[in-house]
Amino acid sequence: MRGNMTGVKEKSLKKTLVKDFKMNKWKYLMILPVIIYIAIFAYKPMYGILIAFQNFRPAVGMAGSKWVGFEHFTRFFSDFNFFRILRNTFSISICSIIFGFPAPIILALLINEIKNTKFKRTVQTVSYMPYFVSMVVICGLVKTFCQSDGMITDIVVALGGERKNLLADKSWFYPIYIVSNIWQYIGWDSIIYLAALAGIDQEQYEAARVDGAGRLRQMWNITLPGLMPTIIILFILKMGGILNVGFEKILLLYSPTTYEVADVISTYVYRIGILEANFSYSTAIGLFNSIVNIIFLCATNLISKKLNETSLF
Amino acid sequence: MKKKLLAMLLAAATTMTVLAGCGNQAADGKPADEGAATSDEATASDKAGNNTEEDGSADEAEAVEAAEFAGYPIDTDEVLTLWTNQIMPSSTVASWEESPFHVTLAEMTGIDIDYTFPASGTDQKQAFNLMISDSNLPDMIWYSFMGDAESYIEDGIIRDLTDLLPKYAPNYWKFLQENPYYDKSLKTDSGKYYGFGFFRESRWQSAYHGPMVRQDWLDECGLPMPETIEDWETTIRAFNDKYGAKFAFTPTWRVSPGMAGAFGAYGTVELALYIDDDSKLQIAQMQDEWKEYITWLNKLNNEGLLDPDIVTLDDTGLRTKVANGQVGLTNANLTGLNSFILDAQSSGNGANWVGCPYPVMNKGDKTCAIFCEDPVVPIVAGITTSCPEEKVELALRWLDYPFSEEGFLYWNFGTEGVSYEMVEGEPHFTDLILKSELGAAEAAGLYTGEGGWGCGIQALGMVQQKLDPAVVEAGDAWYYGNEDAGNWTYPSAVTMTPEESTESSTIYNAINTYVKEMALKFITGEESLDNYDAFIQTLNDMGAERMLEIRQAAYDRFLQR
Repeated sequence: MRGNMTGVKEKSLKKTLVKDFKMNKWKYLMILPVIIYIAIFAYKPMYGILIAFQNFRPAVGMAGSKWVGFEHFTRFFSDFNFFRILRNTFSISICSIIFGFPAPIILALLINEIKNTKFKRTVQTVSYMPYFVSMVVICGLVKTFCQSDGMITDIVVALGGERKNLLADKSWFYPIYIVSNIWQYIGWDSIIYLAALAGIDQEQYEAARVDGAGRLRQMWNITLPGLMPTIIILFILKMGGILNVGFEKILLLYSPTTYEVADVISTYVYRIGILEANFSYSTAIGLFNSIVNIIFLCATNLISKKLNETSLF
Repeated sequence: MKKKLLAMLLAAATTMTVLAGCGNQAADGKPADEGAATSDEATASDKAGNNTEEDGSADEAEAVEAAEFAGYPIDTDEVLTLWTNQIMPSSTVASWEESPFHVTLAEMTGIDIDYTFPASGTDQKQAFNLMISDSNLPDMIWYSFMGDAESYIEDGIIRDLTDLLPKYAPNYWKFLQENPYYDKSLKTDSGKYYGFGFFRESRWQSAYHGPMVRQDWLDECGLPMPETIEDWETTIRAFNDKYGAKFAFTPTWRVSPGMAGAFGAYGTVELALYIDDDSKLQIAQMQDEWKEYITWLNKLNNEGLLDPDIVTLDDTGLRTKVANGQVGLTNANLTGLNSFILDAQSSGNGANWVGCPYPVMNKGDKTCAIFCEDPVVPIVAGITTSCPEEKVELALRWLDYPFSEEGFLYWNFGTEGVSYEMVEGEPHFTDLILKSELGAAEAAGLYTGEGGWGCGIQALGMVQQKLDPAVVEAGDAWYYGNEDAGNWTYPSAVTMTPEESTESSTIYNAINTYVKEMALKFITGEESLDNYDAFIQTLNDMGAERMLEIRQAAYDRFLQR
C-alpha cells in the first residue's frame, strides 16, 4: 500500500484517487457496508456525548434540556469518594494486567509444546470452557466457595489460614477477583496466541535444532519473537481499556466491607447514574473514562512504536 | 406444524371472544362465569350510582356532570392505550388476551384497553425513558411519577388532573378526601393532582419484615418465646450450644431497623433517616442509641454467636443457611418465612418457624421502630397529554373503577362465584385460588389485579388469605401493639426540586456507602467502636447537615400540602 503511494507521487492527488478507485472498485464496494455501519452506529450516536454538558431530561429531549457546562464533571471530581474509586479502578486494572495478561501467553506456549494432538485438543477445550459460563453463575460459585464454610476457605484453613468469610476481607478481594478472572478467561484468550504460533515458520525450529538449541532456547529465541507483534497489539488494546474493569463481576462480589478496595468508577456510575436514571451524570463520567483510556492507548502505542516499531497506528 | 396451526386458531378464537365480549353483548362461546359477571354488573351500576349521587349532592355543578354517568359498564367503542409495568398478566398465560382478569375487566368496565407491558427483564426506568422520548405517548402511563410529578407535568408528559378528578373520578376523589395522608401523598407541593395511586388498606401490609424463630428448638431447649434482648442472648447461646447454630440476618435489607427498636434506635447497616417526635428528620446512625445497638451486635460477634457471613448474606444465602439448620433465630420478610416453612415441609427436618415479637430492653417495654414501609407506593397512573381531550373522561372513569366498591372487590378478589364467595359479608377466595396447583399467589394473578403492586386499594384480607396461617400470625405479632412504631419512616411522596434532589442524592450516596462500610466494620470488630466519634465527624464533613436540611425543607412542604 505504502509502496504504491510513493510510486505515483508525481501525479496529482485527484488523478491518483480516481485511478485507485477504478482499480479497486470491488474492494471499495465490499468495504461500503462496514463504513455505513460505523457511521451509523459509532459516529452518529457520538453527538449524544453532549448531554454530559446538559441536565438531560428524556421527556424534552436534547433540544429542550438545560445546558450546565462542566457542572457534572465538577460534581464527580469533588465527590467524597472520587480518589478512592479512581485509585481502586487503577489498582484492579493494573493488577489484572500484570497477572492476567501473561497467563494466556504462558498457557499458549505450554499447549504448543504438547506433541500428542488428542491431548492438546482436550486441554484447549477444557481450558476455554469456563468462558461460556454466565458471570452470575461464576460469581455465585465464588461467593459460596468463599463463605466461612466454603471449599476455598477449607483449603485456606488447611494451609494454616484463619476461618472466615474470605469475600468480607478486603485483603482477599484482589486475589479472588484476579485468580477467578484468569481461570475464566485463560483458555479463551490463549486462542489468538495459538493461532499466531501456527504461523511461525517451522524451518526456523529445525535450523535451531541443528545448531543445538534446546526446547527452552527455541521458545526464547524463535517462539516468543514470533509472538511479539501479537502480544504488543493486544497489550496496547488492553491499555486502551485501563478504566474498564469487569463491572458486573465487582458488583456481584463486593460488599460494604470491601468497598474500600473494590468500589470502582463503573460500580459508582451504576449506583448513582443508572439506578437513579441520571443520564447526564453517567455520560459525563463515561466521557472522562474514554478520555483517560484514549490517553493511555496513545501513550502505550507511542512508546511501543519508539521501542520496537510495532504499533496500532 | 399442525400444533402451530391449532395454536394460531385458538389464539384467533380467543381474540374473537374478547372482541365480542367487549362489544358488551353476551358472547355465546363464553364460559360459565358470564352469568356471574352480568349479575355483578347489575349490582355494580347500582353501587356506582349510589356513589355518584352522594358526590352530586355535595356540589351542584358536579351533579349535572355526574348525573349523566350511567355506571359501569360504559357503552363505548373507544379504545384506550395503556403503558404499564403493573397488572402484568400472569406468567402462566401467553398474553393478556388469555388472562381472565384482563378479559373480564374489559367486560366489567365496558372499556377496551390496548396494553403495552415493558418486556420482562428490561430495566423499567430505561424502558420508560425511551418511551417518553417519543412524542406520541399512550393515553395512560403507569409509572413512579411520585417524587418528580411537577416536572413531568411541566415537560408535558402527564396532565394536571386537579379540576377533573372531582367530576369524573368520584370514587377516587371520595377516597382521597377520607384519607388525608393519602391525599397529601398524591398531590404535588403546589397542590396539583396528577394521577391514581395504589394504597394498602392497612399498615399491616407494610410491616412485612421482622424477627422469627424455630419453635421446635425453643421447645427442645425448654425456652419461652424470647421477649427481651437478654432473652434473645439466652436463646442464641442455647441454639449455639445445642445445634451449633448462629444468629444470622441480612443486615443490608432495605431500611430494616432489625432489632434496633429495643435500644431506641432506628436503623442497622443501611443509612436510615427517621422522623422524630418533633417532626424533625434525623440520621439513625448518628444517635447514641444506635451505638449501643451496634455494640450489642459486636458483642455477639466477639462471642462467636454471630454468623461471619452476614456481611455478604442475601435472601437466598439466608434461606440456604436456614434450610441447613445453621440458623434458629433471624430477621427476614414474610416471603422468607413462607419459604422457610415450605423448605421444612419438603425436607422433613421438623423445623417449625414462627414469627417472634420485636425484642425490647425490659419486659413490658415497647419497641420504638418496626419495619414498616410507607403504605403509599410511588407508582402512579397518569393520563398523558397525548390522550385526546374527548377520551380523557373515559380514561378517568376507567382509572376510577378500582376505587368503586365493585371495582375494589374485582381488583382484589376477582369474580364472585368464580374466584371468591361472600361468606358472612366478607369476600373469601374459593378453592380455585387457594388450592390451585399453581399456588395461591400465581392463581390470584390470573383472576385478580393484585399481582405485585397493582392499582387501587390492596385489601388486607386478600393478602392474608393467600399466606400460610403461621405467616399471618407472624405479621400480627410484629404489627399489632406496635402500630405507632411504624410511623418513623420518611414518606415516599416528599418531593425535592431537581436541583435539591441532585445535591441531596450526591451527599446521600456518599454517606450511605460510608455508613454501610463502617457499620459492618463496627459489628465485625474490624473497626473499634472507640472510633465512633470520628465516624460521626466524618459524616458531618461529608455534609450530613446539608442533606438533612434539604430533606427537612421538602418534608415541611409535604406537611403543608
